[in-house]
Amino acid sequence: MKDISEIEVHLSNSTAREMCSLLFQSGVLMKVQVGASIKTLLCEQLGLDKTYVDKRISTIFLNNQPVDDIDKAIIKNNDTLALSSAMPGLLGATLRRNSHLAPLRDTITFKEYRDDNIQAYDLIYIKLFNIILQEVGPFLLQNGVMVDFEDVIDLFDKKMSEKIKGALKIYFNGKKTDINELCKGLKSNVKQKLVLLKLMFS
Amino acid sequence: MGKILRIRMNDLTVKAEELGEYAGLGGRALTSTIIAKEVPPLCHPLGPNNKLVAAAGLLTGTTAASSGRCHFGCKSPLTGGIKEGNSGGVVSQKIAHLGYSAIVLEGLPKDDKLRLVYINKDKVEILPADEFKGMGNYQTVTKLTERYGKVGIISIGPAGEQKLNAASIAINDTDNRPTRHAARGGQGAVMGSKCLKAIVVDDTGAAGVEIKDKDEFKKWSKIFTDGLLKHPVTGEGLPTYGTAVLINIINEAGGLPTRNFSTGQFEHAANISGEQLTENCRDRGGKETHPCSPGCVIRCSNVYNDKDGNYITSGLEYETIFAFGSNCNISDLDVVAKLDRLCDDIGLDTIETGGTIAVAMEGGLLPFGDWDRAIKLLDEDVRNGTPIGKIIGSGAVVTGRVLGVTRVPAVKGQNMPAYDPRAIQGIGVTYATSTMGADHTAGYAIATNIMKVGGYVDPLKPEGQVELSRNLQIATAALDSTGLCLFTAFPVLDQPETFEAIYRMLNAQYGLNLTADDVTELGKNVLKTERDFNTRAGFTNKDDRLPEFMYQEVLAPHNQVFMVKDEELDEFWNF
Repeated sequence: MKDISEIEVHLSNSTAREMCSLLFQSGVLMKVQVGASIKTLLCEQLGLDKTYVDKRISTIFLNNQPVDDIDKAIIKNNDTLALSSAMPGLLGATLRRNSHLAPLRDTITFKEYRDDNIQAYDLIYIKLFNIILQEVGPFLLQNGVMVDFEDVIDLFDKKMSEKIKGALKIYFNGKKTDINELCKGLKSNVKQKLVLLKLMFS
Repeated sequence: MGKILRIRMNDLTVKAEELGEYAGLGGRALTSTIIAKEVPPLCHPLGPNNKLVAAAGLLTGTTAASSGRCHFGCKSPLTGGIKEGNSGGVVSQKIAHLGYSAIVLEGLPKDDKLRLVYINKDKVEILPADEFKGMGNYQTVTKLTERYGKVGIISIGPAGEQKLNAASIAINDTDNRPTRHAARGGQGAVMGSKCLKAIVVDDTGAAGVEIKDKDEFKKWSKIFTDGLLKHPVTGEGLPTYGTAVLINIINEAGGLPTRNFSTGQFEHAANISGEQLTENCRDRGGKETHPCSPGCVIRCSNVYNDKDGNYITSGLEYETIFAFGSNCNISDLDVVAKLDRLCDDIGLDTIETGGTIAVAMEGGLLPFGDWDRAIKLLDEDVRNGTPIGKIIGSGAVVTGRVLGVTRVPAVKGQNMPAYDPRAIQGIGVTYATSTMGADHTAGYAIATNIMKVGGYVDPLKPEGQVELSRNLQIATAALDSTGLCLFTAFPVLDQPETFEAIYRMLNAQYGLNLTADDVTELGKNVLKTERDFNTRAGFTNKDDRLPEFMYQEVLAPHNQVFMVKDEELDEFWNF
């Protein structure tokens, strides 16, 4: 028996997009090699293109702090990494990586550039916003992300319950099922803390 | 250059005159220079000596993309200082097409009868409008459109008629709805004091704007438009999500004011985010992208429908969502949309009104999150002018005084916009020193580096934030004089040729030889003119401060107070 449950859901594009949006705005857990830089995490572990990271993901927060140098900022376990494209407004421009307006947010800028030489696999929270959510979210969900058990129940049984009824396929621990059975199964298994969720856009 | 149309409400006469000493000015430069020169700084803002100026920008009326801002200026009843506020909508281009650079409203009428002004290419009429008394902006626009057809309409709602400090001036949008507002500073109250319900601008058959060198203008206009369209913010982010895309980002930065600026993160931010707004617009048959004025290629506005597909409001923006959402602890975007609609109809500034409701919540008038009571406060109390409605409509400072609330997030009497300065300290410098009071558009993200305003700023020096804020405010004042939307600043920030296109278009239109330095000088002059007016109105450096609680009360999650010293703030005006 697997140590965590696995759910695979096949949804229409519009419903999958909405679920993707709900998940990544609040944040999902991913098991990654901590002790690596943000750049290494994004390009080598998550498989994002270097040019995409450099040009497109222009606003990055690590634990609520805007990051300028993603080659030097090191990920630790339990960190929250939030990714966004370029944003409008004075603050949007100020929060961008290496913005010439960075002095305006100097007191909250990430500055803990130290290497603790930790090399282990551990969980971190990942949040995606706006265009990055649209472009990277589906890719990460296809490979699977971990979600808090209570949040999954809330998502399937409440927030998305109506829309997910039209799900094309649902698998719970490898067995085909339907939304009602899935919710029952989840509720009877509340001792687990995390669920591996895979979402397929059809 | 156009003419100035002076409308004298004291004797109900009109006169068009040459720009004279105001030649070469437009937008904010024109409104602020007229106010500083012609309005006694110590006058009562609602008295006979105040004036209300509506001005087109220097590029307005041309084919320059996103150049349709309409600028309003007066002595503000909210701050007691000079005020400039601008808005999209369809009216500014029509004013320019008719050959006017500005319309100046002067004096007070001898009676209290409501009037409207009708302007076309042949005449200017001051007409009775008592049948519009107490009418919301939506109905006013519908009735005026029935009478005059497709026209530009500047109007006030019941809040303006009641001369409330938070009253806005509405302009009809490209769908002929009164959703675009010059909202800040109570300019609607000044229009109301002159008993003017509306200005109707009909440019049918008008000559349009003269361009000295059409080929040159066309060339740079294309470069400018291409610059807007290819940039990720103006060509992609803003059209997709609108300004509300900032909710998640500012929340992540710990600077989203929540429950009357008591914390910097809202636990339900995802419910009111730009991403959610876009989903709702798509699902319900609204529009997730929409131009606020003709010729805008950025299209950051939206049309927001309810669950049944019925229209609620348009132009639901980041500032409004913060003001009624996180700041009032309301996590339902549909409710925020309803409150926005009420403000548009009654004619209220959403930032000031949302901030006031939050202060009222802190003062115990209603609990945080009580949206039902918030709706009633606006729709019943403010609209009908009950005593509590008049207090709420008078803004956050007045409401705080009445309810004994000490935590009022205002500067120079104006409630703060949607960025807590304890998280992002640099914006606190702009809030403190702006001539307008706490204003998020006063020091915008203009390309000070490209414009070379003030040169390189060393981020390691403590004075860096003050110097940057100064440079940004100078550059913003210059851009605000062109009629261009502030959002054009983002491509200007990253693409030198887009900035060059601005002054090249001005040169081609007017036959000038402006350089980047001239544009910077214009911005400096505007700020100094405004500062001089405020000084003569009694403001000192002691007014360039944030409210006391922001120096004492730490803000989560960064647990910081505002740390920029008074002496550093006082350095701002050393230029």
